[in-house]
Amino acid sequence: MPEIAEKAQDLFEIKGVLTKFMRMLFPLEFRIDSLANSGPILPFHYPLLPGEMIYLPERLEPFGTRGDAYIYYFATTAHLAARHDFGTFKLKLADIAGFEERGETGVEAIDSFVASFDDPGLAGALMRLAESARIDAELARRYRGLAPRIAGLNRSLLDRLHPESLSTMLVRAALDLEPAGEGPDSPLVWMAARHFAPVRERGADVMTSVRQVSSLYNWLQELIREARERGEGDPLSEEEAERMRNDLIKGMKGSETQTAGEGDEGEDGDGGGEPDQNVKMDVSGKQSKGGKGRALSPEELRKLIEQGAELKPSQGEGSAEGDGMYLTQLTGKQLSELEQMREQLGEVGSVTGQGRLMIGHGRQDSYYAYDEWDYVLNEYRRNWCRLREIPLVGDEGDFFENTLVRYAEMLPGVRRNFQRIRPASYRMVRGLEDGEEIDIDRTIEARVARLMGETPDGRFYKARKKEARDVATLFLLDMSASTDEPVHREPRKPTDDDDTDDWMKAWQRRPQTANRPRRIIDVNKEALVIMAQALEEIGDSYAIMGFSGHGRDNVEFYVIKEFDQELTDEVKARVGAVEPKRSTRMGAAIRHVREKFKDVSSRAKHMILLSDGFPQDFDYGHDRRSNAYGIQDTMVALKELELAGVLPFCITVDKTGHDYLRQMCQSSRYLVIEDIASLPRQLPKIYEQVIRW
Amino acid sequence: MGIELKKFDTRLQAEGPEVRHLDPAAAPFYLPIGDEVEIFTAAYKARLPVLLKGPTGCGKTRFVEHMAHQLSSLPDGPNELITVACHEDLTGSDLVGRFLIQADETVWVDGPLTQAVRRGAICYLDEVVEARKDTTVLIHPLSDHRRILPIEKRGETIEAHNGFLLVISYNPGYQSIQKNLKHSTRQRFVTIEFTYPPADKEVEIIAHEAGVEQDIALQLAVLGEKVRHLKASGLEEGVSTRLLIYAGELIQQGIAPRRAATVAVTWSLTDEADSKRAIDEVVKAIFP
Repeated sequence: MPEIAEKAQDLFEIKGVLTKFMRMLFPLEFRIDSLANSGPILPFHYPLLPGEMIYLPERLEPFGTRGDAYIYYFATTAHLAARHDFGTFKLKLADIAGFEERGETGVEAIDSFVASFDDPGLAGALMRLAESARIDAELARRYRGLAPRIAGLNRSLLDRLHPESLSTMLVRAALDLEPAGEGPDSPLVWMAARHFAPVRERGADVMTSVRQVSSLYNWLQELIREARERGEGDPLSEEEAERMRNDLIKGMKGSETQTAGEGDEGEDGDGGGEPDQNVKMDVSGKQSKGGKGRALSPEELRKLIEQGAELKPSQGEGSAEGDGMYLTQLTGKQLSELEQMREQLGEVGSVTGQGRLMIGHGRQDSYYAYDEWDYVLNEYRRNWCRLREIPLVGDEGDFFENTLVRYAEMLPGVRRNFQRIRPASYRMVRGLEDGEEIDIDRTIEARVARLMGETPDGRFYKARKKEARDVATLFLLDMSASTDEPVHREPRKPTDDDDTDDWMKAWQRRPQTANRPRRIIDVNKEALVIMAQALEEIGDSYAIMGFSGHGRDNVEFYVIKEFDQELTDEVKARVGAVEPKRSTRMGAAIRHVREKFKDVSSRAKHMILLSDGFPQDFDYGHDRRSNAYGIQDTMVALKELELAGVLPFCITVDKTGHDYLRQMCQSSRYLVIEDIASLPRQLPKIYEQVIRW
Repeated sequence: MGIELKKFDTRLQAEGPEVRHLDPAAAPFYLPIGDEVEIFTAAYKARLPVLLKGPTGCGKTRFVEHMAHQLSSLPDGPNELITVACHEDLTGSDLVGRFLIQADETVWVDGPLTQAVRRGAICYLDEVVEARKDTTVLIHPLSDHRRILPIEKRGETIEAHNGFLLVISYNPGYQSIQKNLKHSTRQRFVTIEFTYPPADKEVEIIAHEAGVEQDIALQLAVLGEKVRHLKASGLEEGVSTRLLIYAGELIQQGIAPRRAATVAVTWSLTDEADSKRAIDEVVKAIFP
């Protein structure tokens, strides 16, 4: 294709495009992951396994005609996704003659069918080939623009296989590509093509493939038998027939590309005919029903494709031979993982309910599942986090009252300030060329001007402009363990940005508590107390919530005040009861904030996040030492929030906050507070400046 | 009533109503998807106000036009169709009317809603949630059994002409949460929900509207269906039937199908680089 320059193509560059492309063509939840050290793989080399993961080579060097590397990704993705859409995994074993009593469906049915042949390896290869032919043909019919691309690509890829090998001939016949040249094999290709023709026809389904596999298999076995009987001297000698069989089976390993000069190492990709010594996996239906066995996990599948393993059904002969690895051997390690997954996906009722007992409110906690952004995958991890709303049991209300006393001198100033910014709900705008009403004064002036022979000013309408303050703000408090740190306040030195208003003096004269050092959380709480007082004055709707947690299953969300709650004694008591808990999984908490705003009808919506460090949790990302995952997830969560119409603002008391906040949000949307203890004084000012309405 | 109607007010013409005189023979093409024609007819006969809900470009406005023309053949059918495209600055006065100064006198000019109420028209308020909140005050007494329109500035209340019906439309998809239709408003209307037409109907619509061959129409409809899948992955709105028709019209004018789809669909839908490329790949897959 002329529009693409001929250069190596990296998967990560086009992964986003590919994912969207695939989701448009096939509305299924697929995900794309990369295979290291792999050249282009013909679609029929991919095992017939369902699953949401599609594995593609990490990087492709240019091959074939111009742009083939780029096209390869789209065509292969379409092919693999189309298997689901075109019914490959809808096979019912009971539909096949001779299997009427069997209940297997989908991939288990395919396995059992393939396993019923004397040579399951050959039958499996034929099944994949037939399905591949069927899907290519159907794709070409439905997407006419894709047809030439698929054909061109298949041709390029086939050129990389041994041109003289019989298996290549067979693939050529299956995919309806004209043979390279006239040769003694041509009648064979012609015969094979006749066998494959029905699967390429309109209306063919997986049952057509099943039927053609049976006839192809018999035909090939017959050829091999005949060759054996006739002995040497025949072009289709026994050796030749055996080689074809082995070639075919080997074909699925995707390692034949090696001969084309790829750096594929460690594989037995010499194209010869020795029996398979690769990893074998047991994927039989019998095992699955036994309870221990199960479908392959994405990781295992990837391993399989990477190693070029043969998926061999255990019911076939010789499945127990060789030093193969069995799925049952793999399961031990991942069993706990599976349990964890089931727990996460399962119902609330299946979760151990210790948390509920501790709360003792006699009511069920509500759980929420949230996606999490994985920047490595460039994809959301669906329903990755489980968040629980936990009602806080309040203290005696002392903290709130004590704070009010402590800041008694500062509060009137704050209140006054907030009263000032409360506007009238409508403002009359005069002097308009167009408006709701006539402005009598101006009309008279215009009339006078006119009578005096002057040009009147035509702007004699007025209109009411809405100026109502309609704001809802949610304060989200980081309740991580690190907020337990005491605030080390150095003796105050006057600085440039110190203003000398009443608040400041009040602050310096504030009574000091002696009994225990004030912690970051205490200062945050004080700031919220002052804020709540100020907001009651201005009448803005506000909510106060906190979050912490431990692990993705256990994100805790504490509701201190909902939007529709009044500032009651109970709410005041809950503010006092806020204490440091555990980790900081910000993404899920922010996504829950978005939920909280769903029923809020205010015109302007804001979230103010008070934190003391970067997002972190023990399983927040692939590498515990790196905070990149958490930062990226938080960044995406903040963007989602903004898309939902809520403007976020982040305040941190972490002096190194610039480093990561810069990545998470625009510089105008965050603030690093150097002097932690000044937060209660600063928060109302920040609010005034930040909140737009 | 002493109403002086000034017909040549430039301001009203600039943002004013679009008046259609009705004739069943001139009814625009509309292909019914379900029973919406029957529902609307019944609602009109019972004089129940109608709310049309659905994404942009799925045929709401066309449906109203079609129905207004069809219903005008009834003995007590509507006399006109008055359409008002609502926007954020549309106030109650814009709908009801206002005093204007013209030369040496102050004259009252009926707004589109008042005109419809007086003359027995179907008044179609397109995207009504966009309008200012004070417009709902006007809608409420018109949309229940009272069928009256109070004109505060003139101290007058007018009863709706027998042919009058209020029809509003609303797109739940792209309005922000703040602009949801209030329950006190929405519970006064019979609601007809529109979605994109099913594939076979969409083919027929595209073929008819754009005048393209069945084959091209089919490919465009497939493109529409596929692109709409992307809505789950970040596209704000699926591609409208209208855009598909545009693409068809471009093709009919001799533009190559791939190019037509790119300019009418891909670029109109999104500015996001990945989505654009992905949609273009789908275009390339569908059009040879």
